[in-house]
Amino acid sequence: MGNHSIDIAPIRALKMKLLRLQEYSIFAVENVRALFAAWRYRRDTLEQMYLIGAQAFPIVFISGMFSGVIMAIEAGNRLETFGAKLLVGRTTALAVVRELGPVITGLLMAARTGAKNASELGSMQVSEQIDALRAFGTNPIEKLAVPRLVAALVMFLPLTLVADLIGLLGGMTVSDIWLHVDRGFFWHSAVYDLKMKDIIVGCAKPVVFSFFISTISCFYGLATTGGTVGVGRAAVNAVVVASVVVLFNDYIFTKVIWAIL
Amino acid sequence: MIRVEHVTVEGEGRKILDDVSFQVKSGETKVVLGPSGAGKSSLLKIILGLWKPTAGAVFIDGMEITHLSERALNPIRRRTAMVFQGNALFDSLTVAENVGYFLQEHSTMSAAEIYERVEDCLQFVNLPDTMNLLPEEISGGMKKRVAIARAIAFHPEIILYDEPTTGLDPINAKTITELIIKLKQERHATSIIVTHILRDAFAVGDSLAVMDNGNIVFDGSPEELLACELPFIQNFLSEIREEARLILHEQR
Repeated sequence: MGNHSIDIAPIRALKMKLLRLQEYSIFAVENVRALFAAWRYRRDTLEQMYLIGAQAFPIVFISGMFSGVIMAIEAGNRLETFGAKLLVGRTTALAVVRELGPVITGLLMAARTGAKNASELGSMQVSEQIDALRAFGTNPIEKLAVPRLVAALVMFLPLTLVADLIGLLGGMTVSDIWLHVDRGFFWHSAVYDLKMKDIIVGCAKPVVFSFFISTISCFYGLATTGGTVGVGRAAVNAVVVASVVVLFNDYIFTKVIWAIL
Repeated sequence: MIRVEHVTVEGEGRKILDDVSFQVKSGETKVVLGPSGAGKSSLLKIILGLWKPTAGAVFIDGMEITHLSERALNPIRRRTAMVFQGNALFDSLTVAENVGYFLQEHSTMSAAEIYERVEDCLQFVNLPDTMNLLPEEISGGMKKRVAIARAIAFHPEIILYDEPTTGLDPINAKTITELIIKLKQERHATSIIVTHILRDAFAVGDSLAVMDNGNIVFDGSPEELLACELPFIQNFLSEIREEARLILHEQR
C-alpha cells in the first residue's frame, strides 16, 4: 500500500504540472488572439506602459551601469595579464549587448513586473473584482492581461537598449580611469566590432522575454486562490517561473543563433 | 424568469450544491436563506454563469445558459447585476467610475449622460458627495451602497445580492435593507437575495428558500416557512419567530 502511493504521487504531481502547462498555453494563445483589445483599452495600455516601462527606468539605469562597469573591470584585469587590455571595449560590448543587458533587464523585469502583475491581479481575483468584471460582460484577458502584455512588448526593448548604452558608457568610464584605455578607442572597438547578429540577438531577446514575463505573471495572478496567502504565493511563483523561463530562453536563443547565424 | 433545475456542483471532494431546483418568477424577490457554508453564494455564481455546474441546468427566460461560452453569456449578463458579498468595487477607480463602469463599457451613452446617470444612482443610495473618492476612502456601509448603485446603474432586469447586510452595523444594515425594498418597489426587478439574516429575509422576500448542506430544504412563502415543522427549520427560526410574525403582520 505504501509503495503503491509512493508510485502514484509523482505521477499525479506530473499530471498536475502538465495540466498547468496546458492551461498556461491556452491562456497565452488567448492573449495573442486578443491583442487588438489593446486599442479598445488604450488608456489602460498607456498606464501600464508608464508603470512597467517609465517607472522601471531608474533600476534599469543603475543595473545596466553596474553590469557594464563590473564587466569592464573583470575583463580588463584578465586581459591586462596577457597584455591585451585594449580588447576590453570589444569584450565588454559583446557581453553587454548580447547577454548582460537583455538578461539582467529580463530578470529585473521578471521580478518587478512579474510581482506587480501577479499581486495586482491576484488581489483582484480574491476580492471578487475579476468575477465582477466578468459579471459586467468584460473579458479579464482583454481588459487586464492584454494591456500589460502590449505595454511589456513595447517597453522592454527600449529599457534593454538603455541598459546596454549605460553599461557601455560605464565600462568606458572605468576603463579610462583604472585601465587607462582611451575613451575614443574603447568606444570605437566596442561599437565597430559588434556584428549585425549581435544587435539582432540583443534586440530580439527582450521582446521574447517580455511575452513570457507578462503572460506568466498574469496567468498566475488570474489563477490565484486562497486569500492573501494565495496572493503572496502567486507573486512568488510568477517571479520564480518567469525568471527561470528568461534564463531558459536565453540559453535556447544562444544555441539557436549560433547554429543559424 | 429564473429556473434552476437539478443543479449539482462538486469541488474539493464534496458536493457544494446537491440537486438544487427552484424558480423565481419575473418581478419576484426570492430570498435564499441558510447557515454559512450551505452553498448559497455558489448558487448565485452558477446563475450568473461565473461557475459551471457539474450537473443540472439554469434557465433565464426559458434559455438554458449553463453551457454557454463567456462570449455567449454576455447578453444575459448585460441584463443581470450582482452585488457581491465583499462589494468587489474596482479599487483603482473612483466611486463615479465604478458606478458608471458598465455604461462606459457597453452603452452608447455620452459622457454627460453617463455622469447624469451616475449622479442619479448615487443620489438613490444617498451618497451624492462621494463621486471622486476611491473605494478605500469610504466606509464599509458606504461601499455596499456604492455596490448597489453600480448594480442598478444600467437598469438590470435581474439583481442578485450576495449577503448584502453581512458584516455591517445595525444602522447600515437597516439602510441597505430599506434600499433593497425601495428598489423592489420602484424598479420591479427580479431579485435573488442570499443571506443568513432572517430579519432581512422576512422584510424583503416575496418567497423564501432555505438551504442546508447544499440542498434546498424548504421553498415557499414566508407564512409557510413560519408554519413549517421540519426540525431544521424550527431550530433555524427559533430566535426570530415572533419578530418575523410581527414583520409580516406590518407588511400586510
